[in-house]
Amino acid sequence: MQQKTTDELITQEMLLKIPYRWAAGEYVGEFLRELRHSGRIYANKCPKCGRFRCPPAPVCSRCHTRMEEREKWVEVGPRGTLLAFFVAEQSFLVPTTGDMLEIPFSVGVIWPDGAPVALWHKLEETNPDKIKVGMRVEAVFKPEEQRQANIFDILYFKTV
Amino acid sequence: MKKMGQETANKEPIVTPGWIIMPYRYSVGALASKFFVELRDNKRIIGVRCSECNRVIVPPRSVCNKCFRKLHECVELDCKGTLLTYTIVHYTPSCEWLKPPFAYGIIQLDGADTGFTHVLGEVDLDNIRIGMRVEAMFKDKRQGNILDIQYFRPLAGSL
Repeated sequence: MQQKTTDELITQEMLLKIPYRWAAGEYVGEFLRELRHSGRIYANKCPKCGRFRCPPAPVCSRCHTRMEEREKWVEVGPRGTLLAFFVAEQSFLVPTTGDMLEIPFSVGVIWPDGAPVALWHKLEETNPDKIKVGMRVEAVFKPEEQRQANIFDILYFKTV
Repeated sequence: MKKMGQETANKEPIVTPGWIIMPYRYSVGALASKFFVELRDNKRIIGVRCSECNRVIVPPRSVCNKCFRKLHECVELDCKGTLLTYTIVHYTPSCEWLKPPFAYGIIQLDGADTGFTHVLGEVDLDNIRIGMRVEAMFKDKRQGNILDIQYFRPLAGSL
C-alpha cells in the first residue's frame, strides 16, 4: 500500500498537569508565618555592608555575609513608594492555574517604608493613567482567618 | 543572640502546594496523521517500511532510526500480535488515565519488526505471559488518537 497524501493533519489536545509542593525553607518560611500571624512584612539587613533583603535571606546578595540573627529583622511597610510598574493588556496562560490571565493586570515594584528593598506585588489599580512612579501604595492583607502563609496573604497594594 | 536555626527549630514548616497546568496541542505530523486517520476511520494499524533495512516500523516514523532513510512506504498491519514484554503498574502519577493495577505491554504486531506499546485488557494480571498472542480492541467512538485502541486483549486459547 503506497502512502496517499492525507489532507487531514491530526492535532492532539493535551493537558500537562503536575502537582508540586514548594518548601519555603527557614527564612522565607519565617517571613510567611509572620505575614499570616501578624500581617507584618519583614526584611533583614547585612551586618557587614548594610544591604537589605526582602523576603529575608540567609546570605547577603552583595557581600555573601551570613545574616543569621532573627532579632535583627526589621519590619517594613505596609506602606511604600512605587518604583516601577507594568500593566498587562495581553492575556496569557497562567501556568499555576491553567487559566488565562484576567486582564488588565498590573504589577508594581514597591519600595516599602523602612528599608531600601524592592518588593514585587500585584497592584489594585489597573488603569495605567492612574499609576505613577513615586506614588504611595499600601499592602492590603486577606482577612486573618483566610491567610495561608503564602505571598498572596497580601492581596495587592492599593493606592494611598 | 539567637541564630535562625534556634529561633525556628520548633515552628511549623511552610510548604506551599502548587500546580503546573499547561494545556497544549501536539501536531503529530504528516505520516502519523495517516496512522491516526486510519485508526479512527478504518480501525486499521499502519506501519512504514524502510527500503534500506526492510524493517516495518510501527507507529510510523518519517526517518528510519537505524539507516536514517526517509520513510514513505505505508503498510497495513494485522491487529494481532505477540507480547514481547510487559509491566504491571501499581502507582498512579497525576498524568495517569487508568486506575492501577493494570498492565502495559509491548506488542510485536504481525508483519511489524518493532514493538508497539499499549495497555493490556481483559486479562488476569497474574496470567500475563511473554509470547502470548493478543489482539487490538477498538473503541466505538474514535477520536484520532492512540486511545482509539482501547487495549490489547489475549486471543482465545493463548493463555
